[in-house]
Amino acid sequence: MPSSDPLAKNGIEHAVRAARRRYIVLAIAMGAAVAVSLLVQDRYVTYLARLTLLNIIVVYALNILLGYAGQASIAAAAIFAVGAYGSAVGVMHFGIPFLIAWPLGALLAGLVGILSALPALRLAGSYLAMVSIAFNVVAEQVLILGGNITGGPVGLPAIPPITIGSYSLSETQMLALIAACAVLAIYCTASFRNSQWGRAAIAMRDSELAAKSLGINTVGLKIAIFFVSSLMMGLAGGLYAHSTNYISPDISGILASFVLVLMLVLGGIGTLWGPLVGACVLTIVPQMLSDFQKYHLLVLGGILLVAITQMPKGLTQPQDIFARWRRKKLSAHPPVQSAAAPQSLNLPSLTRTGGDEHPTLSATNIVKKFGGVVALSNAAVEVRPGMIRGMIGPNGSGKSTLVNVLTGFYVPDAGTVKLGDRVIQKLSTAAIAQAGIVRTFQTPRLFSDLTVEENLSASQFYHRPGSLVSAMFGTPGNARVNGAAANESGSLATALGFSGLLGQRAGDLSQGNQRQLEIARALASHPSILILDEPAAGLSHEESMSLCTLLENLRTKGLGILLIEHHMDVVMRVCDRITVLNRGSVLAEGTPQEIRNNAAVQEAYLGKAAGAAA
Amino acid sequence: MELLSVAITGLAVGSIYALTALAINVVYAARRVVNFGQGDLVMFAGLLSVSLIVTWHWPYFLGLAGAVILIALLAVVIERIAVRPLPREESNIAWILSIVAVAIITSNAGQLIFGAETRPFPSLFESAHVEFGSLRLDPSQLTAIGATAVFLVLFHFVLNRTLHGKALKAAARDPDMAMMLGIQVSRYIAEAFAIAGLMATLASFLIGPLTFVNANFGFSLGIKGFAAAALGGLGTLGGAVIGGLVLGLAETLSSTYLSSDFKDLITLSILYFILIFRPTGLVGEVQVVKV
Repeated sequence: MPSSDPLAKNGIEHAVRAARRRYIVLAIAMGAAVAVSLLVQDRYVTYLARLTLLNIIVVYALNILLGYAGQASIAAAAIFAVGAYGSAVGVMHFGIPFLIAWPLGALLAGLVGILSALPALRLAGSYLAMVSIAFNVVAEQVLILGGNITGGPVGLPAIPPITIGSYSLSETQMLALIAACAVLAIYCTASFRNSQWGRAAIAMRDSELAAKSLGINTVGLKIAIFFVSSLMMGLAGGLYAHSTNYISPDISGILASFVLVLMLVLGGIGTLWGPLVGACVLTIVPQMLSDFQKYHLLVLGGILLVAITQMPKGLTQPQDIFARWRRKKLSAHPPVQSAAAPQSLNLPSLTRTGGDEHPTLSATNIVKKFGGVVALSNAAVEVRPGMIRGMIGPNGSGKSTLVNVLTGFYVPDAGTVKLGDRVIQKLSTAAIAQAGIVRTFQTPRLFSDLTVEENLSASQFYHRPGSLVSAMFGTPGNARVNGAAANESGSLATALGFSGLLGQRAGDLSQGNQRQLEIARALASHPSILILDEPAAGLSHEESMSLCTLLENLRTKGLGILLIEHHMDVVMRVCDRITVLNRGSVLAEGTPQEIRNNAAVQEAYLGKAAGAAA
Repeated sequence: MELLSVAITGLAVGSIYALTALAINVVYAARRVVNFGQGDLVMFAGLLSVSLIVTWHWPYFLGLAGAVILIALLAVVIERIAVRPLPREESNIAWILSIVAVAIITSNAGQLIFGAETRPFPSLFESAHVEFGSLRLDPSQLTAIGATAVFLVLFHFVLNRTLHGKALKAAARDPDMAMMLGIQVSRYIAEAFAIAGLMATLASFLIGPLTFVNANFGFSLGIKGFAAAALGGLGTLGGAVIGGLVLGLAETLSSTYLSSDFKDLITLSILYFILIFRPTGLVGEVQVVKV
């Protein structure tokens, strides 16, 4: 167990102390922001600073949504407006004190944020973008048509200032409050990025399929992230309404939403300091260029186009542009660590909590059709714990389709898939992975922008998520979860022989290391059944042999393994039993020796003459 | 009778959405990007055509031909600068933003070049209506409906029945494999954008006599066009037309019998709910995830 290891325990304690130190830094930064704000006297500077700081909050919220989670939603201004109107209406029409109306308005914004994403939760990004644009248009219309409640097209004038108890804040004091909130927003975004939630979000962005196959419930994760980022935008909206004392439907315009996205892209999407730079530049510069009002949008569009096509990483990551100027200096070869065959595998505990520890996976009479094409006509396979089941068959025999059925990517047209006594063929991919069936992919689908260590930690998200609140605020509890995840990632990498690569970006790994990482990542999600789709493809002979050793080791740990493979040396060496698929149904089943001597199998692979000769 | 003439108006409006959706689908068929800027292209084409025919007194059909060529070129240039430089990846924020940027530029360039005022569009027809018994119909509306039907049949034939169309679809489905088979992928993508430009110009000639043209309708037409495409099922030709007609009818009926204030609210809400319950649209097939 990792927690009983004194070294590991030290690591966690260290992380907790670091989290406490960050609290002190946060307090100092907030204090400094307040102090500087209180010095501002000039009204125009106050106005500009307030606008910039509020944009900073919204753009950081957008960074969580677009940058980390990869959800291309373009409705930030509408969500911001919901927070603003919610708070203002609460105070003005219902007489609720600001300190209650403000979070209520933000809560409303959070819920509206989820609503805006509802049609797109199951769909690809293009739908989300357009649905959110449509949603933004609708929201603006609702505010315009809202009659007395929203003040119609004119909006709400004379909104009372921010009041705490019976004390009304002055303009400068409100600026100080907003500055403190902006610092907090940056801190929360940074904590989120360095949490299990943040890693899971990036994992989902980099490969949603792989994230699901590791048990990450992507629909739930998207809802949580839409809620959190919309909540942040709503809080900014409430501050805006009461510090500006006048709001109109204009603040919810689709153009404002574009500009907010532009701030994020220009500064650097998915980076920590990019949103700060982008929000400052695009709030302050247009104010200075107000003489060129006519060309404002043309210039904004132009900047967005150049930013996205020429420097996709934003102003804060300029190395991209320079690299282009230097005619793409050959990138240094990423380090390669060839896997030393692990002799005895000192794996961290892979035991699953609760339920049947070692259930059997069995699929019977599986039929799957795509239109008129029958991919599986009568397929079956059984994987017992502590057993390696090989699955072979010519190309097009239905191996990959069967794997997709077993892991919930496809729902079979007929037949049953059971894990233990539980019928699972209608469960989602994530639910099946949570039940203990985890797969790798024929073409590795790593979370390429995460490091090796983060890939392994993200894969523990299902059984080690930590709470979202502690992730946002970077609490000691969150540090403990981070530390435990890092420990397990470290010991997995050590056991599989690539601990030297923990800090590498996964996308830069060699093919062999990518395959290793995929297997390690599957193990990190604590499977009871492991399905490997051609894990030896592209591996050298030594790498294949160390793969065999690894599989044999895993078998002794009680894992059931389904191995789809074309390398017969690997299959014949490690498998206990082999299933041969041909044209969507089982051609033969038996021990490697039986399969080797089976005439029907020889015929399917080598043609009739070979079958007859044997 | 009133209901019938309202319905025909609805179908005519829907035809314009359908044409926009068809153009969106052609581009999507070749490059898997949704051209949100199609509406702005229509707007730009309309303003250009008015300038050619009314301001500079070009003959009607010469103006049409000139506008078709210029707008098709513009669409090819857009592909070259805003779509081609982007990587084809699972993550698709980049192309969305890039296309949105182009839409913003097109719409504002239109306003700066041609002015912001609304201008009447030349019509082929002398009279604003023809009579069938007691029914008075606007020939421009009938042309719009007819043109949409012609385009649907034409595209269906080209994309599904000709080698050229199949190559275009192959270019989108698996560009690497298509290239290995000798299909010049980038040429087909440019061609799809050129077709989108052509359709934008024709759409502007159909919509112009019905609604006049100004620099502001591009954005809303773009959203409706996408809504139509998504409603029917992105990438399906028949779906684009069905989606367009449903939206057009819903919009016209609601602004006639409720209030025109609610028309965007109602049409976009239809899109919202359809997508919740049928994410692949009314006629779209469930897409098989390729693992």
